[in-house]
Amino acid sequence: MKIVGICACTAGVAHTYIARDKLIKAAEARNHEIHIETQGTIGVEFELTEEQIKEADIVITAVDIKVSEDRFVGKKIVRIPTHIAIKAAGQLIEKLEQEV
Amino acid sequence: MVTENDIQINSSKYENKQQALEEISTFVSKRTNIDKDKLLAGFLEREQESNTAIGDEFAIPHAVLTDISDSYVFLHIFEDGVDWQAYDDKKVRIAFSLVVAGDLHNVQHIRKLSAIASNLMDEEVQKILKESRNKKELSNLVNKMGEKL
Repeated sequence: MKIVGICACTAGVAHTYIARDKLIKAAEARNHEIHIETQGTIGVEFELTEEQIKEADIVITAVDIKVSEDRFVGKKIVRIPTHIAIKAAGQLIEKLEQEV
Repeated sequence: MVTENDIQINSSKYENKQQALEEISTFVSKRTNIDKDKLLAGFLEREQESNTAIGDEFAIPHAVLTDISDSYVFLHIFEDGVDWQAYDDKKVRIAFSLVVAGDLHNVQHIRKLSAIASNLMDEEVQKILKESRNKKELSNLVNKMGEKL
């Protein structure tokens, strides 16, 4: 499946990026395409393209703060806190496989 | 720029995360002249929001302080491991402490800290952090980690 997502933790310095890496590793290990944008103190990095969002089967927001979901209208969105992405990215991806 | 003086290799025993964070705060205070209690309060506040252990013996405790303009990173190796209540039940042996300027921040400093966190997920990096006790090699590694997000 094709996944896009956003990671953003409260401080926006460290765990945002750890969550992103864990999600990418878990998804790629199961042969999924994944793109994750980070919204941290330094701003947006790895920004999602319109095309990536359009093609995505599912959107993951791994966030501890409020982020805009305006770009994902009409998409299935799974919302989790960053610590779930950090400790259970593999299980999350497996669960999503059954739902999509 | 991280130097050998920013790396602490510690063989003492710590009963729990609180004690380890006190030790980290003492070390960081000496290096930055920031008040130790202020640092500790910042680290503890962040731990209460959510545990900063990221699994596999690593943790990234951080304190966000509002009245500083520079941000800092230090590497602490706890030879004996610290019960950090990590989700995988592994003791934390390698902790990167981040002191983050909350308001008057220099974006380049924070970018470096974010890059270090991101590159911490690299397997080769993890291997060196777990095996090397050479401060020169470790400081070079940390500086390299901070180069690119």
